[in-house]
Amino acid sequence: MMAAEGRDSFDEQFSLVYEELRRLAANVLRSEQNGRVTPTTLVHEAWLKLAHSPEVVETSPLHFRRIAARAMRQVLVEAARRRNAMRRGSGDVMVTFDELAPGMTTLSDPKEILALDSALDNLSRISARQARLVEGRFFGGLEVSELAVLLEVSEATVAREWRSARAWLAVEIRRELRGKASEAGVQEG
Amino acid sequence: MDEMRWQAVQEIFSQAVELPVEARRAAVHTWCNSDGSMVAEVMELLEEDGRGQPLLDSSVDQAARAVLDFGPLPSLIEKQIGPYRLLRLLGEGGMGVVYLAERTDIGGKVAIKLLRDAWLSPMRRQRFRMEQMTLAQLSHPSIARIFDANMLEDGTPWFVMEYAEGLPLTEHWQQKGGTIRDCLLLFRRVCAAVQYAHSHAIIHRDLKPSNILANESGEVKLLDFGIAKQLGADLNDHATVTGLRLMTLAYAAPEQLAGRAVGVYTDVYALGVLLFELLACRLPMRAGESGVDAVPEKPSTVIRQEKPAFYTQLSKAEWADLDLLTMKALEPEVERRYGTADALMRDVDALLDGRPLEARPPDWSYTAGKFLRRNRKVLATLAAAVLVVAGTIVFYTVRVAQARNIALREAARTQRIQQFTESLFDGGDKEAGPSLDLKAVQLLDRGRHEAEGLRGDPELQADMQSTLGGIYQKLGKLELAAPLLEASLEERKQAFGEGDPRVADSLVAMGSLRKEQGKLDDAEKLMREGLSVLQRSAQASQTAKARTMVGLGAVLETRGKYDEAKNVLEAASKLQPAYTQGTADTAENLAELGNVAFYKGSYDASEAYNKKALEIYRHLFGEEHPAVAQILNNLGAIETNRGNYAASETYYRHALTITEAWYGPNHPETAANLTAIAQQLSYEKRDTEAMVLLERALSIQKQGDSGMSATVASTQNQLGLLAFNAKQYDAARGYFSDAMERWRKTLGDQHPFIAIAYSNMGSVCLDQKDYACAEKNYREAVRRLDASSKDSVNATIAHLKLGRALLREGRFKEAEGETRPAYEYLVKHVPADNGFLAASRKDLTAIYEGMHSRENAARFQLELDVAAKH
Repeated sequence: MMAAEGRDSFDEQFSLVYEELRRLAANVLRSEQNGRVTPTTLVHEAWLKLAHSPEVVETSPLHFRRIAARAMRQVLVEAARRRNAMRRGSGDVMVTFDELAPGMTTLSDPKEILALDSALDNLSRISARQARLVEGRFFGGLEVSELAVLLEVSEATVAREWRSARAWLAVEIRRELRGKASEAGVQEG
Repeated sequence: MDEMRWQAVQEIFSQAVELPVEARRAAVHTWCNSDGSMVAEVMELLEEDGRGQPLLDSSVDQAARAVLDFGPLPSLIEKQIGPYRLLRLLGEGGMGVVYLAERTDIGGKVAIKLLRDAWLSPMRRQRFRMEQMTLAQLSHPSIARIFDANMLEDGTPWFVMEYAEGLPLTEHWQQKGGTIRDCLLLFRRVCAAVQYAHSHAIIHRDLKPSNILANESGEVKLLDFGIAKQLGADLNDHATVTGLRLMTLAYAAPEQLAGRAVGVYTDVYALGVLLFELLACRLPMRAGESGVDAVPEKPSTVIRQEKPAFYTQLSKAEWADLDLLTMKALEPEVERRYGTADALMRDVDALLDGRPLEARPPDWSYTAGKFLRRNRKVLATLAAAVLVVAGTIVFYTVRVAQARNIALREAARTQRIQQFTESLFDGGDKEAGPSLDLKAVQLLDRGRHEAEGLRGDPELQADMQSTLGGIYQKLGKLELAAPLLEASLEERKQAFGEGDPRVADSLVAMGSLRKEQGKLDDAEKLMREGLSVLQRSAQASQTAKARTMVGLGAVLETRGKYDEAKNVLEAASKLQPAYTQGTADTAENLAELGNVAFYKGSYDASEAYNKKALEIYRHLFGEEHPAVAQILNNLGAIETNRGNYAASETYYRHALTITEAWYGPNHPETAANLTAIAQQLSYEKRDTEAMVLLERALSIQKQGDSGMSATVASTQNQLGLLAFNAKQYDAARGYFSDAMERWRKTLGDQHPFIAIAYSNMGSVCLDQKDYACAEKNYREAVRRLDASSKDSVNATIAHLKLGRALLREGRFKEAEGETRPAYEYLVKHVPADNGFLAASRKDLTAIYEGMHSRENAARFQLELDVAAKH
């Protein structure tokens, strides 16, 4: 799919959407009203802003959301990196092994987001399509039916691949976080 | 883990999750062939899958809030807004949140919608206001009414709507159930509400079950006009083309998904999906979606297989009608879909009443065989053109929305497509077509293949070929236009005989193509043939004759045969209807007369002709039309030659705005306009600006095909002049000689432009003090210009230049013979501040000083001084 529409145009649109999302996120942070902004709102706002730019005008809303999903991943990963660095700097106590596994049910910590990012990279090496699928679904909120159109496979395939990728990624993320935590433990000990 | 192993693990995992938990381990062991590590991997995945809350099912919102420091969403429940107290959240979307609220003073429940994050952008707030305005315009029992609107202290706008109780349409239908007739009656109510909105020029664009509530008694309520579009509304609303919300995929029409223009037919598609879903209890598959089967599903097939009890309610013929109706609403191609909700509703009524449907078989416009049915002939021709034109208009809408042209955006409406199509066949203005748009070209190509399929009906085929050829020509695809026009000519000769006026039409069309291709001999011959056919034919109309004569005049003019051209054009103008009811033909005739006058140096006459033409074009087409731009360019050229550079730049810039908006930035017409402005700038010594424009123009022109050759030459000539001004003599000589060669090839050796090229070469020699070379070139220019247009400004300038070369050689007497008559001419024909006039005085002063004729020298020096003071 990516090859079909041309790498260049994807990159161009990606960087555009990324910049826009980052700019919006920064605005949100600066404002006093950040309480009510969700990523969906940001994507929507980016679309308002970019839908008529020459780079995006030919893009269907669906493809835009796929690109936005990638951009959103990038924005969140970078924010997570900064947050993570801040924590280390401020001497925050590291989370220990027992606290995070296996009860962790949401991805809400910067480290967890970074772990998802690198797990997704690993996944893309063994199945590029599944990595795109997860990216679109998790970061872009795309529906199964929409992913089926984007990835040019049946909805059943999307559902099956989502289920196995979801399990695989969760295993990877837990493993990664366990490794980090024990590493930190060793250093501290 | 590698790709292969992951595939194997995944396969086993996918099979194992289908098994009861207790059976999994044994099965995994078997499937893994006792590969211990693989068993472990699969079991690990199964364990993860078995957790109640899979990690990745959490919302990205939480992740974002965590890393972006966003606080939690505040709840507005129990909050008081004006007289309303919020009770619970009804729904939320990308922009708004809707709460159920009650009025605390007089009681009663309402829905209140607030715009989230209103502060993010003005566009957002405007959009929200649009929804309020839309609702305020609509008063229909099936559309939620708006009661109140205001703003919170923090600037969040809100409005209050009627609270509609009920279930989403499909849920309602599934719970309530009923016969197919009940289903159609329910659906009809939705159609009526949508049609009501359409009759107020509002397209909903997001019709889906959750936006259509039905209550116990089956009354429906249309909600959420959040992305509705007002037809013909404010042009800044680019949403026309793209749609603001990321709409719900299943109900979105193909044109919405592709980001093309939407219309009332977009809602019709969503209605088709709804009908299918109501009947079949599931969504229709999109063509090609099932992988194998590109043919769309029919409701009857699905229902027979999946709901046999339902199937028996209708007869076979009734099912055929219901299939037809549903499929026509679900047509991926706009032109074949029901054009309006009203048309769909009429067929629903017809079905309910047992009357025949208005819908035609959906494939009629594509089946070549059906073209041959005599009674469908006209329709068939129209259909193929609709195909062409629909693409064109879609393109238009995009382009024009950018150009902020209200009138043309209206053309996107379906009925306009029809009118537009018909005008193509009425011999209306084909130039109203756009250019160099891929989509249009692709559609044309399809039209061309269809024309090839019409062998059984040569007359119709000839019509199609001729129309398509004309459009290709307008699109600048000359090599594609030629075979079509040739074929059309041959077909018509055989079908009607050589003397038929339709054959003349073809000859003239061919002639105009040849002219564009630069094959001027052929062009003149074809035009003359066409004219003689018409003059011999009793049926030929005055209009046809006049049009042909204008065509011939234009060819003669391009060949530089100005006197002949003038005669033909004047004769043509006598055949035109009275000026008061000027047509496009009249205007074209006037413009061509203006061109001839211009080339002969009669600027006043040329200006008068052009201004008349301009008035007619403006009246016929409005301000933003290329024909208007063309005339503005002509007027600019006149002012340039009069030396009124400021006035001419104004004309040219105005023309460029129109041309660029119409044709786009990379079209030959745009390039031509850029060249004109650059010429202007170079006269004003604004060479750097000129150079930039010319380089842009040249790069556009070089993309074009052979027909552009003469234009490329003009650009080269301009670049030559700039190089000359910058004293880059070698470059200048290179440009001028390239230009001369190109002109010679395309326009023939006798063309006056060749003389201009000689004159320019001469100027390079003169500046380099190679006077013999200058004299040689100028003499050639003089000889040629005297032959084609003696006593014109151009010829006079050539004499003046020759005089200057002779002056530099010290041959004063001979110089006087050239320069003095040039001065006498200029003093009568150009404004007092003309640069060439000043040059002639300066040269004469020097000449008479050289001849020791002090009195004369003093006279011209005085004239120079006086002119300089003004």
